[in-house]
Amino acid sequence: MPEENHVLESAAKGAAKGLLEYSEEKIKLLARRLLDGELAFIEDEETIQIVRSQRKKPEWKLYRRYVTAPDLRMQIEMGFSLRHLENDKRKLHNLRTKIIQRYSKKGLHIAQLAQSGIVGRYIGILIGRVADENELKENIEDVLKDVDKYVVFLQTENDAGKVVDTITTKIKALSPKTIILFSCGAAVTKAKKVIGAVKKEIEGYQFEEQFEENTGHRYDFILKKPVEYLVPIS
Amino acid sequence: MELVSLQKMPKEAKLGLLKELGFGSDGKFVLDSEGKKVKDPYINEEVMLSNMLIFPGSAIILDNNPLSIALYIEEHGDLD
Repeated sequence: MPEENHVLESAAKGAAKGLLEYSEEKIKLLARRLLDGELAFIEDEETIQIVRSQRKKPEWKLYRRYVTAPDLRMQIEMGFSLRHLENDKRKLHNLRTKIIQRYSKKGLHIAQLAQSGIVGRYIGILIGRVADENELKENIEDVLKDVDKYVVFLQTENDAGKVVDTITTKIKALSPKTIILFSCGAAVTKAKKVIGAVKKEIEGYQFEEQFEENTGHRYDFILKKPVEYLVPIS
Repeated sequence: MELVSLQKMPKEAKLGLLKELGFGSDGKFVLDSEGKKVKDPYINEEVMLSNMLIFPGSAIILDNNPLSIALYIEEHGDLD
């Protein structure tokens, strides 16, 4: 028998055997158990395991404590899922599409903040700078709600001069508490230039830079100085 | 709660299960009792037979993705 025929025959036998395992009585029993709340059916069990495992992480508990708006919390949670799926391009793309469908592009940007680790690092910085938990929550949610205003994802192809202008204009016009510049890979060198130029242009802000060697991610936090740090005008 | 994988379930068995629960399929999408395509309420997307999940109670059929599952858990609690 040619090998091709043998494979087809094996597949047919497998399908028939699979169907035999699901007799009419068994299907009725499974349906009844589902309606009784004893079981659930899922195409790919990994999906639910992703959701369950991320909800057990200390990182998630931290976010739950400081981010109270349900939609923002869900977008952050999806950031963890995106991180988990980084090596599976098809599922990654699929989830990004679903996030946009539910929350628009802005929701995806918030998820990407969590995916890239920016939110966690930002909380770490804020903890040492705020007076109480309410101020911490307010600062985090301010940035998340206006992610496109306060967070700049630097791409290799971006013009450094234009990015400097964008950041300095935002700071001068809006006087925000925080601007975050994220870069990775080849864009990191450009980020250093951008930050160097911004430092020369603005006053009343502190700069905190973090670099993660294993991912090549660079995080630049431009933080408004607390009032007590400002030199009074004599 | 027991989780049953649909990955190894033959298509005919999936169709039988849907029928038993009052649903159907056109071979690609899941249909309700009136023959309309079932939509995942969390992402407003039609549910495909090849990527569905069925949660208990009144048989809630969703698209199998982390967002729909997380939103379901937020609303109904985990499947303990």
